[in-house]
Amino acid sequence: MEKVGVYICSGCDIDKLDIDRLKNVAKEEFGIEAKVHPHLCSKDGVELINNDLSELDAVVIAACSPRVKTAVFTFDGKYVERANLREGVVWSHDIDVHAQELAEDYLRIAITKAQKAEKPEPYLEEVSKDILVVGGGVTGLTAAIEIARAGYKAYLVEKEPELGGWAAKFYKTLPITPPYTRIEEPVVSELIEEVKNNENIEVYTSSTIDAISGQPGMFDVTINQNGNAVNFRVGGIVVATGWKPYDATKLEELGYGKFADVVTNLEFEEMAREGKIVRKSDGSEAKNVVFIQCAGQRDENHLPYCSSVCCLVSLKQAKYVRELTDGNSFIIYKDMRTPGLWEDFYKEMQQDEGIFLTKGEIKNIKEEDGKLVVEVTDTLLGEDIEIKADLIVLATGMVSTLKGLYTVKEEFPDEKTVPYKHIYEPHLIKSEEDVEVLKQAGHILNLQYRQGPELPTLKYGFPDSNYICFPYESRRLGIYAAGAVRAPMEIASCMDDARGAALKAIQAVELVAEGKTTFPRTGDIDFPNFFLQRCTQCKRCTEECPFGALDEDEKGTPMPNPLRCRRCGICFGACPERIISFKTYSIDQMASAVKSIYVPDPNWEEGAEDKFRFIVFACENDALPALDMAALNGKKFSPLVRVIPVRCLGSVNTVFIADALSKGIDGILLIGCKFGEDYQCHFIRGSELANRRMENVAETLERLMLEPERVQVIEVSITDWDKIPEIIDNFVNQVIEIGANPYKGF
Amino acid sequence: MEVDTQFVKDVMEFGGETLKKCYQCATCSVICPLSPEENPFPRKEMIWAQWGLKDKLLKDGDIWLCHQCNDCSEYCPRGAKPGEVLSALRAKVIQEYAFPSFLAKILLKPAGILVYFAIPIILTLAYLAVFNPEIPNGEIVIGNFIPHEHIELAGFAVGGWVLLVAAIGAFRFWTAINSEVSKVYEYKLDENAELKVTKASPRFIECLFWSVIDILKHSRFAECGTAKYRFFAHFLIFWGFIVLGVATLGDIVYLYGLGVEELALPITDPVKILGNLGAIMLLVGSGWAIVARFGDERIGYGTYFDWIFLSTIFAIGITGVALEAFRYAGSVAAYYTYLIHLILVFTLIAYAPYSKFAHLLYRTLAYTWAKSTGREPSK
Amino acid sequence: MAGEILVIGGGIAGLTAAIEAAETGYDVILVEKNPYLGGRVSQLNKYFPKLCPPFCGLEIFFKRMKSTPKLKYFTNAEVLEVTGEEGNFRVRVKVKPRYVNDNCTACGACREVCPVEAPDEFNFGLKTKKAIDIPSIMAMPFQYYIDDRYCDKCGECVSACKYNAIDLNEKEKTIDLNVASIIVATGWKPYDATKLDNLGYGKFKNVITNMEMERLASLNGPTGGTIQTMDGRPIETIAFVQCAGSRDENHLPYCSAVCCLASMKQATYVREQYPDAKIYIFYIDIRAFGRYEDFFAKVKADENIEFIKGKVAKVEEVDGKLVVTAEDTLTGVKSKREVDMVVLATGMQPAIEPIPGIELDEYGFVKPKPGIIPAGVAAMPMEVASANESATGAVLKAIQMARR
Repeated sequence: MEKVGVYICSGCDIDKLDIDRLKNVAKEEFGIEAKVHPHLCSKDGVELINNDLSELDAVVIAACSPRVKTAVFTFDGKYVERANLREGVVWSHDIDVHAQELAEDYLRIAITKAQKAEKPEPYLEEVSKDILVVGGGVTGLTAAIEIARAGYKAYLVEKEPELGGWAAKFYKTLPITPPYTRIEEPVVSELIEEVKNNENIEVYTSSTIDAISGQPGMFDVTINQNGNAVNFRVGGIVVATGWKPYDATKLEELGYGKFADVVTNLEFEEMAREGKIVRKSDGSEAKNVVFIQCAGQRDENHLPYCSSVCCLVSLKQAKYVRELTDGNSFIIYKDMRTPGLWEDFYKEMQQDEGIFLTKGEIKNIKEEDGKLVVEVTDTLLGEDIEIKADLIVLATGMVSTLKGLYTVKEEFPDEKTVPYKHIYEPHLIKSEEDVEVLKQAGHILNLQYRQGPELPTLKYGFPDSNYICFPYESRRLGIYAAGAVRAPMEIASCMDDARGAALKAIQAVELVAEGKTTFPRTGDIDFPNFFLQRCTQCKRCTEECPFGALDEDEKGTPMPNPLRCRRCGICFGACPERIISFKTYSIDQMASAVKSIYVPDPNWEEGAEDKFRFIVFACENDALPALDMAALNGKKFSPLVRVIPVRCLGSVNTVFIADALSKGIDGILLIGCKFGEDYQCHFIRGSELANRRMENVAETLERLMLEPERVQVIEVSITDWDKIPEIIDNFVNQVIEIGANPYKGF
Repeated sequence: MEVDTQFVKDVMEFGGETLKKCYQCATCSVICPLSPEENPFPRKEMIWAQWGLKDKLLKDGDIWLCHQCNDCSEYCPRGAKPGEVLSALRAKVIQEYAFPSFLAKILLKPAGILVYFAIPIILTLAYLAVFNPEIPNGEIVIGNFIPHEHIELAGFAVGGWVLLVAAIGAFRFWTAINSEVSKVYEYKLDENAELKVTKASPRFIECLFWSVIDILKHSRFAECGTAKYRFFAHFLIFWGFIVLGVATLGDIVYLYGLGVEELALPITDPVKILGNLGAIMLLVGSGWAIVARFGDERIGYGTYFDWIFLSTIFAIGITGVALEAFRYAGSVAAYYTYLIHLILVFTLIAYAPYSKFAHLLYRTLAYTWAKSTGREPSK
Repeated sequence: MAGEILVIGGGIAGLTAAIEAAETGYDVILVEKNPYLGGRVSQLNKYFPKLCPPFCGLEIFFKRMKSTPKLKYFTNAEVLEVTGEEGNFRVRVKVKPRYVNDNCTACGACREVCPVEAPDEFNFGLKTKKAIDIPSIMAMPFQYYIDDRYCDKCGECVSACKYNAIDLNEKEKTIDLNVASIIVATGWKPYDATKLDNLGYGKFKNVITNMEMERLASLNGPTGGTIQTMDGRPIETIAFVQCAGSRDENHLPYCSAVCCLASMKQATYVREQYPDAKIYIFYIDIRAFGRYEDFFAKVKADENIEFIKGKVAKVEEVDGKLVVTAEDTLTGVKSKREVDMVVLATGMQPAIEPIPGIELDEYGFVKPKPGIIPAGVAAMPMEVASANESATGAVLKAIQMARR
């Protein structure tokens, strides 16, 4: 940008610095006449800027942290760069010559970034705002209905000939609204009716998806309806393919498959639907029915997680026994899990004098005189017990329909080494044949994405969000999972979840229609440009993009899909050829900012030998706020450090490091979010990738005869503000001990 | 393990209708000031009752250590009211141990109230038909209407029957609660300084003696929080009976020791004073209990089992006092009141093994058992 | 016809609802009764099961808010009344004075000179604040406010403020809104532990609530993040009392859904600071549903954390030490533990006060009706992730009536 205005605030103690010298930096080094105001965020101060705006492309605000007064310092159509003099300098350092130099460098960096920024243009395409809902169970039906009610068109695709999913096969269901004190007729028939009568919903039953290609707003869907191909275009997708029961044949220790009268809760449901609760072995009515909870769940040999619904389901089914026969129901549980208002359901079902409950562990199931006997230990009855059972019902758990499918490459890599620490079950893949078997197991979405055909999963095959705060975070923009495919849940929760995911799909199509991305950089229109003439087909960008935004041609050249992109800059950080850049966040811009830092040269300057220079690349999501917090708490750290905020550590290209070191910077610290299983990186693996890249940098450093300690990566969380100054100082001291960068002055 | 749904239903019918609400948090066991350290009650009784484990409950002395102060029900998070449930269990146990059981079954049900009164009324009518006593004229002297000897004879007969039935119940109960392995051990160092663990030997008489002392002092009752009134009310009723018993002894001394011919004692007579004191204690105590049960839902309204017993005591008190008033007033209504009084006294005594009165027996035994096995309240 | 969506409550559910709706392209007005956004979660030290700080997510929320012009918010504001019907509600909102305007740069000069110390409710009174103060170090808006219950209007702050940001004469305002739909995300308040008379809260100083524990563990809390007894001793033993008020007809009949996991999380706080501390968790049922089971498994594997199945019904002080008693229902023995501190896992109570036009159920949760959509704990007890799901779902219902 050519015309950059510089505004310096002298309020909030910034006037302790030598403002004239700051003005001189702007004037002498950049030829810009900076304006000073004692309270820049006041009406008066903003007025000062507004008066000049017509003459400007970009504005540099040398005042407080970019995290505060953001709305005040936002000017339509203008690029704004903030030099953080308040939290970054005066509140976190003693005011001396070092602090003054720090402030001057911050101003240089800000002006450089503003000058190097370009005006972004949104990626605009003709988009479809229709939504595809995959799966016609309660979740899918609800999603389709609610989407249609919001005025959008929904396509509902179901592989079975009938809509309704599992819930349609149930005798009765749990209530869908409080008070949770009753057992209801399945709600599903009403939903089916509404879907069929809604003009805004197009239903495809007996249909599977052959392919989905494109990007949000422009997904081209090919479905296979009884062998006939149907094509349509949608903007967003809700995945509501639900669950499958855990394979009970693996539960031989609980007698399944061994005794005819041991059935699963699903088989029992079917029995109840037929109106008869009978022993499979001889067809006689079952009088004593024992429900065994956690039949596989909470067991690391089967399903380590809790299926959330089984306690409720068994309470419901225990009531069936009482209604359909005059028999008794026994429920042996580990913990009775009826959280929240579901406690009411427990209380209500428990009232029945023929329902007997105890905590207990199943020791053995045996047959005695033609009857099954359940041996239970650790009961509440003060002793181990044996219960004679006509029928044993195993409360088996829910497994995501994505489990057992080939989802994305990174989860099932051909080379058997899983590339990221957050991927939970690498041990499941033992050979390339295993991957082949998985690939044959069928597909749901069949996404034509370079990184794989399905939603990435998190743990146990659930494509759930890792973020507590952002439960619909999806690593595939425009595609959101809902219901039991995402996490085990009962019908009421499925219906709520359907609405949440549907809203996100609607939001995605509305955003991409304007060329904007979603969380966490919602509204960002700037997208990465690839200068492909110089591409060497190294595939780093296509492999490392956490959001599958980049496809590849046969040669391995990236084929960007800007509407899938979340603007983290990980591709930009990955590219060794430095051919990927945003208009407002480019390699040139960042490298220039690094190079704009004034590095005193001991050959020429007196006292320069003490003026070590360090760069901290700080993730703007967590590390930067933590530094602000440190400043607010009066924590001080070395003034030799220049903090440069980045979108994500994953966007730090090694060229920045190389440039900094060749410029004579003595050490570089990258501060980013935690990675691994409980990753906090908002771009999934940015900090992990940064870590890995810096390992490679370390090798390069050794070749250059530089100490590898000069470049380090640190993980922090946003509340580590008490530790961050110490971390920085330790790093600084460590490098000072090593000595100055020998490349200074070259 | 056999569950008995009928037993569950029975307990619910006997006033334990909340029992299925229990979710085994065990607040009750901790809140209860009388519950021991190991295997405390009433949490375990609640699940046994939920499961209809009749055998376990019949062998369980703990339910008799509860004085239904209802601290547990007050703090019960589920509204399962363990206090009420234990009370119902006691009723059920009385029914199970009483001989003959058909009579117990009838008398313990509200519908049995017909039989309950029919027996003494028929007996009275039969007596009236056989002896055809006339209402005497002049000064009111009860002995002129129905001779003392008849009352005494009837008393011996009923008493004998009651003792027999009680003995059967006591035997069954005592055997049952002692059939469970005692958990009380004594720890001693033997000569080799090694720890020696032996089962403590119950010393029945000693335990019984101290149990009776406890009962006289109401020391366990005194621990109650929520239904503190119960301590006072029960104390009055209990000691009212004892005072009346002493007065009755006085009467016997008058009749057979001192040769007094007629018991129309003046109001200033020490025995009369004692009798009146006892009557007042009975009336105040039972009246208090009645008012409290109506007034405070936290302490439990109770069931037929409680009410028939409580109202009988109260009615005996009322009729006794009325009888005396009529006598001093010179009204012949005294004789009719006397008949009613007799009928009531009959129900109280003759049905003792089938009514709440039986708790006197079971509780005393349970106390003795508790002392012999060390089931003292935890401190 | 009105076009806007009103969100009542600026806690995690309200923020989610407001931001998701605004990012979908709808005009949203958010009303928050505190002088800051973030609600209950801003008082938490960490979230289960990831043990990550709530401010990490809030930071993103606030950042998204700043770049969403379609979202307007009022702090210090309460809804007085709702009339009308779906598509056309009239809502009366009272906005209490903050006495500090947007000129505030959060420089803190006012706080320095303020002579009035007041109990800090953000920290449950465990420390004091000034009558003019900033709600928390990560508050949004990042501005000071005056608590007029304590301010004596001495004017010291006015003279100290260089930016003309304080106006002690600011008056309460009432504003009338016309909105299409209302998302009620009023959240929860901790159940009043003094009502649990057998558990010693208010009687013994080292019996605290789980929310107080969050403050103790928080870096910006009263102890700077050091968990210690109220008399400053380190923790050697600590007991967590589950269902303190929840699942209890005398208090909160429902399960609060989060307390088991919250206590396990807090157990990890203690373990982190005191590697040798013994921790007892007394419970009825451990409700670690879904994938939270992994967290339970992790905590259970810790040898220093003992789970005892039985509800604590008695907390006493014996020779200066707290003693908790429960019956271990698996062994049938009364389990007594001597501890330095007792943490009551108090439950969630709906925070909403009756507002004409908004119907509540028997427990005080908001009943849905056309155009009025409860979200998060205003609807029923739930943990943060579920609250955000609920809030996102509520937006879809809300936009069905609103105009883009």
